[in-house]
Amino acid sequence: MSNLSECEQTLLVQADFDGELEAGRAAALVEHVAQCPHCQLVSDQLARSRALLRAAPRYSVPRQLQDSIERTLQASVSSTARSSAQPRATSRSAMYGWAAALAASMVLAIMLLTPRSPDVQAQLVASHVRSLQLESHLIDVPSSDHHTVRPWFAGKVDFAPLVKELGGDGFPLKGGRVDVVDGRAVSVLVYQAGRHVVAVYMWPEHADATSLLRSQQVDGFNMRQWREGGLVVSCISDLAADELQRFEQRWRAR
Amino acid sequence: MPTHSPFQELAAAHLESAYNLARWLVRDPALADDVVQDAMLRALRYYHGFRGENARAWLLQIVRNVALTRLSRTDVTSAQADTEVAHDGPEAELMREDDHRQVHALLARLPVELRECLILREIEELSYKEIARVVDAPIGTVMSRLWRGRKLLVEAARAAEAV
Repeated sequence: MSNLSECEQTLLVQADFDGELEAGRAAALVEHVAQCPHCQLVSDQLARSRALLRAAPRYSVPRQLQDSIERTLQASVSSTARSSAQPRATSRSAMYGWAAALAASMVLAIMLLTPRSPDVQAQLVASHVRSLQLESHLIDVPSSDHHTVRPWFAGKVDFAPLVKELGGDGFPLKGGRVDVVDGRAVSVLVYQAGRHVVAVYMWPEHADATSLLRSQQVDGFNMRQWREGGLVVSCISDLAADELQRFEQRWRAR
Repeated sequence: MPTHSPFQELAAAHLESAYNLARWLVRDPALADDVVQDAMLRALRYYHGFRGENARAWLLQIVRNVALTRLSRTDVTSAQADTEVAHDGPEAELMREDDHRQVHALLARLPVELRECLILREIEELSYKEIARVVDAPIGTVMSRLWRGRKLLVEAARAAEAV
């Protein structure tokens, strides 16, 4: 083991390893690690610890326990008034109750509609993270002009994506790319928001579309989703929730 | 499909995570069963206060609190502790069992506050923010616990190999 003193960047190296660092800082960190022996050792230890832990089993629930919990909950739910088991709106805000109901219906929707395929939200996040990690894949057509970006998608996706310029609102368009989510080609627009990136995913709305989630947080990313012009529009970003909401407002105002 | 309440749906969706965390925290199959049962009933009672964001982290927080309370009351010695491992294929079984035992033994020696962070991050794949919520600590604390845990784990593994 090394006697090198701890480098103050250690926890950042770890955050990068855990996918918790934004792309800009991650890039700067790569340069630091290249010349810091301590941080190289840290990277090595992180990889080793992960290899060890991934060999650990994820225990599966014994059938007996599962049955007994189902019985217990069924009994508890039946014995109380059905409404008392429903999430109630708190006095602070009816929104909480609405959000709880939405979360519950999300679980239901995922269980009913996509029993085996990984859920689309998680795929969007994974796609977004991949695009940030591979700088080159963030954008295939770099342009701030929607007259350039929109035609570029022709022939690459089987729909005409909405492309809007929001530079005047503080969200300059950086370009676009095509990605695959849930087995279909989707268009992705990339906007800059200060030091952050907002990715706008779009695909045609299908008859069997799962219920939309207006906004949610997945793995630390904020997401907002709506229907517009026959398309599902899904924004994902590490922007704060209220900033992303502002982005949606500006977008929809155009 | 019989009619289920939203809470039942939530419980079903996150039962695996709940059980896995309980099992790794208390390291005893029977005690883990108790912890999960108890946690689910508590969660049902607290459900009216649940604000609908991140059900898994919310539920795991309850499991974790129940598990730690039980641990402080029960003295799980290493003799009783988990030695049972997951079986999933005859060929890989022997090797995997060895790996599993080794990880078990190494993790067992870590303080529980480091162990829980490692399990939540590496097996449940929670984000820092979610872990912070489950263990009720600031994100900075989670980060330093993760690092301490990982370092101790790697050092212990190396020491074990050297013997």
